Amino acid sequence: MNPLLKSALRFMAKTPWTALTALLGIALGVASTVAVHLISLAVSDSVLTTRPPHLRQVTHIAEWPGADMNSYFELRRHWRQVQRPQTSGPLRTDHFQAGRAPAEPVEGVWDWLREVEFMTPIVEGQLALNGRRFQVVGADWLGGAPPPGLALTRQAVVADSSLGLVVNEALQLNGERWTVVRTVDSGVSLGLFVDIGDAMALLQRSPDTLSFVALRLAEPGAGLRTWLERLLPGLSAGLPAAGAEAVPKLPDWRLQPVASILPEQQFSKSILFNLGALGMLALLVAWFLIYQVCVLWLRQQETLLLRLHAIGFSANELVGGFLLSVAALGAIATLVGIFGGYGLAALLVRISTAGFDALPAVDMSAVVVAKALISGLGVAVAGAWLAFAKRKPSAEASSRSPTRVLERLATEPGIGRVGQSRADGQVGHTVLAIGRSNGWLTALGALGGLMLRRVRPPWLGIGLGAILIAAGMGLAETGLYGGFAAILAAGLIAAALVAPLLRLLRRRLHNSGHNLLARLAVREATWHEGDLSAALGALILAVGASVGVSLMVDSFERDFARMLEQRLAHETFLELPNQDGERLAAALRSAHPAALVQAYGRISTRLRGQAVELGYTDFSAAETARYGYRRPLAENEAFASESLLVKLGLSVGDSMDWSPPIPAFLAENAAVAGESFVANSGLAVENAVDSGGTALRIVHEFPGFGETTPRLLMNARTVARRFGDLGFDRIGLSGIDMPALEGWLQDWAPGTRVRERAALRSAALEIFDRTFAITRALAVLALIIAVIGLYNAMMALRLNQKAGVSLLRALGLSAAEQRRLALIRGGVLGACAILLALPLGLFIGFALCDVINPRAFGWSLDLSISAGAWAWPMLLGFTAAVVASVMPTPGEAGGAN
Amino acid sequence: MAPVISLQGVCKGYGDGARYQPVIDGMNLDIPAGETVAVCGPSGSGKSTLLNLIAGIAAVDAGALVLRHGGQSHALHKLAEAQRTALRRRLVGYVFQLFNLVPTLTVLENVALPLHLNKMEERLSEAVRRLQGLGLGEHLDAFPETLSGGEQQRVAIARALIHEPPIVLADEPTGNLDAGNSERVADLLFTEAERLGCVLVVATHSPAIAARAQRRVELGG
Repeated sequence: MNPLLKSALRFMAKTPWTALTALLGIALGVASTVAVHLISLAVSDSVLTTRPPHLRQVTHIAEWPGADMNSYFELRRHWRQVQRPQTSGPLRTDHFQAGRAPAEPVEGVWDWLREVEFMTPIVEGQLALNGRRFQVVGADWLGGAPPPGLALTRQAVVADSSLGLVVNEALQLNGERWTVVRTVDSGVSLGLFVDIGDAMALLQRSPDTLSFVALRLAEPGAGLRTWLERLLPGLSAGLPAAGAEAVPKLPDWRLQPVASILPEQQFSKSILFNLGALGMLALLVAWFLIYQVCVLWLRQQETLLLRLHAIGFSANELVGGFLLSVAALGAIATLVGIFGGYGLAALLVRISTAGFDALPAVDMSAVVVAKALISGLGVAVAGAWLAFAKRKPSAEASSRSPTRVLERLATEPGIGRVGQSRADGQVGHTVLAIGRSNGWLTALGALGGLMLRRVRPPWLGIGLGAILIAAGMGLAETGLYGGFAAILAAGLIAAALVAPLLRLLRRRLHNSGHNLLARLAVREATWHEGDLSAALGALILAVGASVGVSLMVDSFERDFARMLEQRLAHETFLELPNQDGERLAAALRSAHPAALVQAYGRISTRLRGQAVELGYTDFSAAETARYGYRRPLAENEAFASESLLVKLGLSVGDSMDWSPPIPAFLAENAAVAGESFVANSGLAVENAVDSGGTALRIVHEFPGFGETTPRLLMNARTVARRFGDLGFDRIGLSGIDMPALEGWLQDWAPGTRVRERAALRSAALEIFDRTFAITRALAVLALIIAVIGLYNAMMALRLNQKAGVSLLRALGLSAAEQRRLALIRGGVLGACAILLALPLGLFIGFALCDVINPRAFGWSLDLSISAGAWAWPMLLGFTAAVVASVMPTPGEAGGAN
Repeated sequence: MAPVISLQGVCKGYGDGARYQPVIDGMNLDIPAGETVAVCGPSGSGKSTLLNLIAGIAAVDAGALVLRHGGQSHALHKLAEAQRTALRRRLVGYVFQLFNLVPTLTVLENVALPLHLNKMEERLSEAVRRLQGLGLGEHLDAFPETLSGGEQQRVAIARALIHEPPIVLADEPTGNLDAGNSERVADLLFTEAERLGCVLVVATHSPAIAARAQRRVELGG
C-alpha cells in the first residue's frame, strides 16, 4: 500500500473521535441528499402513475363548446397539411416525434400546428349502472401515442383500481360483455378507459360527439425540464409557468395546458420542489461541513506532511496522499450516507404522507448513487483541495520557495511540545508552498485564494446577491426558482458576512473590557475568521432556514386553524352516499325544529379551462359570515379562493363572463353536473348550457390552504340555473343530540357518514402536521449537520491554539479559567451566528409566506412572528456554538485521540 | 536555610504498564534561594520534563517534590492539578524556547497576564516601565507577530519576572536565536534573576549559558 495512504489511514485509526465526527458529518450530508431524492422520486412516481392514461403523454387540450368529430377531423386535416402535405395513408407517430417534418410553408393561423406531435380525440361522460356512476373515457388509443399496454381493442376495458376489478374479469355494461385488460391507478374514481367508439356506444352518444382533443406540443424547454427532473424529481416545477401569451391561438379552439385540468399534479410537484429546495439547503450545509472537515484534517496533518516533504516526498505525492486519505474517508461516509439516506427516506415517508393518499415506495436508483458519490466523495476531495489552496496566501507563496521555508523550519526542532511548538503560520505557509510547486494547483490555488481571502468583504458578491434577491422576490415570472434563488442568495450573503463581521468585532472589541481573560477570549473568537467562517456560515444558514421554516409553519398553522374555525362552524357534518341532501335536510328540520341544518353540494368543472371545484349552498348572511363576508350572497355573485384568482388573473370586484362549463372527469363526482344536466334535459353536452353571457362577479376572496383544486363558491340557485338540480351530498348540523341523530339516520339515510367537528378538526391538523413533518425534519437535519460542522471548526481552531493553551496553562491559568475562556469564545461566536441568522430567518420566513407559497400553491400567508418559532432555533444555534467551544478536542478527550 | 526547590527520589516516565519508559528515575535535588542552575543533557534526557515537574504542569509518578516560599512548604506531589496551577501562577515564571507569547494579546497585555492572574493589576505601570527599559517601549500595543525572535524572548522574560516569582524556569530560552541575541537574552535572564534573588533553573544545550550558572545538573541520556 502507498506509504502515504497507509500513514493517513493509521492517522485516522489513532484519532477515532476526529475521524468519527468527520465521517458522521459527511454521511449526514450524503444521507440528506439521498433521502430527499428518494422521497421526491417515490412521490413523483406515484403522482405520475395516478395521471389518467389518456393524458399521460399530453401537454395540452383543445376544446371548443361547439366542436364535434367533424371539427376534430378539420383540425387534423390542417395539422397534416402543415406537417407533411404529401402524406397519405394511415398516420404514424414516428415522423412527428422525430422532429419537424419538411413541410411546405403554410401561412396563416394554423401554423402553430407544426408544433403538434400528436393529437387524439377524447369523449368522456358518466354511465350510471346498478347505483354506481362510472366515469367513461374514450380515446383513439391507436391514433396518437398511447401509453404502453393501452392500445385497446373493441370491448376491452382498462379499469381504474378504485373499481376493484382484476385483469380478465368480465364486466356487464349495457347488456354486453366487456373484458378488463388492465387495471391502473388513474386518479379517476370509478374510471373506465375504452376505445372512443366503445365510449360513444356506452354513453349512447352520437358518433359525432367530442369532448375535447388531447395534444402533445413540442415544448421549447422540454429538454431542460427532463434534465431537471432527472436531477431531482419535482425540480422542474420551479420553472416559471408559461404565460397565456405563450399558448398558441387558433380560430374557435381554446388551447389549455394539461396542468390546468390536473391541478393536484402541479400541487404535488410544487411540494416536491419545496422539499428539493430544502434538501439542497441541507446539502449546501453539508458541503460547508465537508470543507470544514478537510480544513481540520489538514490542520492535524500539516506537521506530518511537512516532515514527509522534508524527507523527500514530492509536493504532488503529498497533495495526492492527502486527497487520497480524505477520499477514503469520503468513500466510507458515502456508503454510510447512502444506507442512512435510504432509511431516513423510508422513515420520513412513513411519518408523513405529505398530502398523498398512498404511501409511495422508496427505491434506490443509479442517479441516487451518483448524486451520493458526487456529494460525498467528490465534494470531499474538492473540499480537501480547496483547504490546501486556501492555506496559501498568495503573497507568501510568491515570495517564498518551499526550500526556503524548509530551511527556516530546520531551525525549529521539537515541534509539538509545550514551549516548543512551531509558529502556526510558518508551517501553514510551508504546506501551502508545497501546493504551490504544482502548476495547476498554483493556478487554482490563486483563484481560491482570491475568492476566499483577498476579497474583503465580498462586495461584488453581495451586490450580485442583492440583485438576485430583488429579481427573485419582485418578479413573479421567475417562479419558484426566483424565490428560492433569493433565499439562497440571502443565505450566502449572510454566510459571506461572517468573516467581515468577525474582523469588525476584532477591531471594535480590541481594547474592550477590563478583564484581560475576557478580552483574550473575544480576540481568540474573532482572530481566526478564515478557519471559522465556513462553519459559522453553515450554522447561520441552517439556523436561518430553521427559523424561516418555523415561522412559515407557525404562520400556516395559525391561518389554517383560523380557516378551520370559520369553515367548521357546525357541530356535526353528514356525508351522504348520494345527492339526496335536500330531502334529508328537510326531514331533519322537521324532526328537529330547533336544529340548524345546512345542505352543501359541489361539482368539479372547468372555468376558462381551469379545473375548479364549485361549491354551493344557500349563502345566507350567517353562512357568508363564516368566510368573513357580511351580507348574503346575491344572484351571480361568488366567492373565489385565492389560488383561483391567481390562476385566472382576477381580483375581488372583477366580473367574468361565465362561459359554459365543460364537464370534468378527474375528481369524484366530476362529471355529475354536466352529465346529469344532459341526462335530464336530453341535450347534448355541447349544447347543454346556455352561456347567456351573464357576468359572474367575484365579491370576496377566501384562503384555500391545503386545497389542491381552486374553489368557487356560490348560491345553490345560481348553480341550479346553470346546471339544473344537482342535489346536495353534505349537511352541516348544529343543536342535535348525537345518539338520537345516529339512530334516526339508520332509518332515514343508511350509509351516511357522521363526522363531528372536533374529529374533523383534529384530522385536518394531523394532516397538517404530517405534511410538514418532512420539512421540519430536513430543517433539523441541516441544523445537526451545521452543529457537527461547527464542532469540527472549533476543533480545528483549538488545535491551532493548542500551543497557546499550553502556554496559558504553564502561566498558571486554571482549568476553570480555561473553561470560562472557551465559554466566552463560544458565546461570542454564537452571538455572531444569531446576529446574522435572525435577519436571515425573518427574511426566509417572509419569502416563504409571501413569495414561495403564492407561487407554488396560490395562497399567501400572514407572517406571524411567534417567539417560539424563532427563539428555539436561535437558542439551539447559540447553544451549539457554546457547546462546540467547550467540548473536548482530540487529546483532551480522555485520550480518545 | 531550607531549599526553595527540593526533589527526593522523584520518578517520572511515560507510557503504561510494560510500556512504561522512565525519563527521570529517583532524582534528588535541592536548590536554595537565589541559586542559578543549568540543567544539561542530551535530547530526551528529561530536561523539559524536570522543568514541567517543578512548575507543577506534570505530576510526579513517585517521590517528593516540595517548593518553599515565605515560610511555607508546598508538597507538589500531594497536590491536585488545580492546586498546582494556583501555586504555579504565584511562584513560577516560565520562559520557553518557542511560542512564548499569546499571539492574540499585545506585548503589554502579555506581560500583564501574570499580574492579572495574581490580582496585581496595580503593578501595570511597572510592566510598562520594564518594557521601556528593555527597549520595547514603542511596541507596547504591538502584537507578537510583529516582533523579532530576540524581542519576543525579551518580552517573555519580562513576563516571567513581572510578578517577582521566587522561581524562574527557562526551557532552552536561546535555542531559536542567533549568537548575538542569545547573549543578550541570557544576560537579561541572569541579571534580572540576580536582581530579584530568585531561583533560576535553565534547561540548555549551550555550554556558554551553562557556564554562567552557579550549578550544573547533568541528566543522563
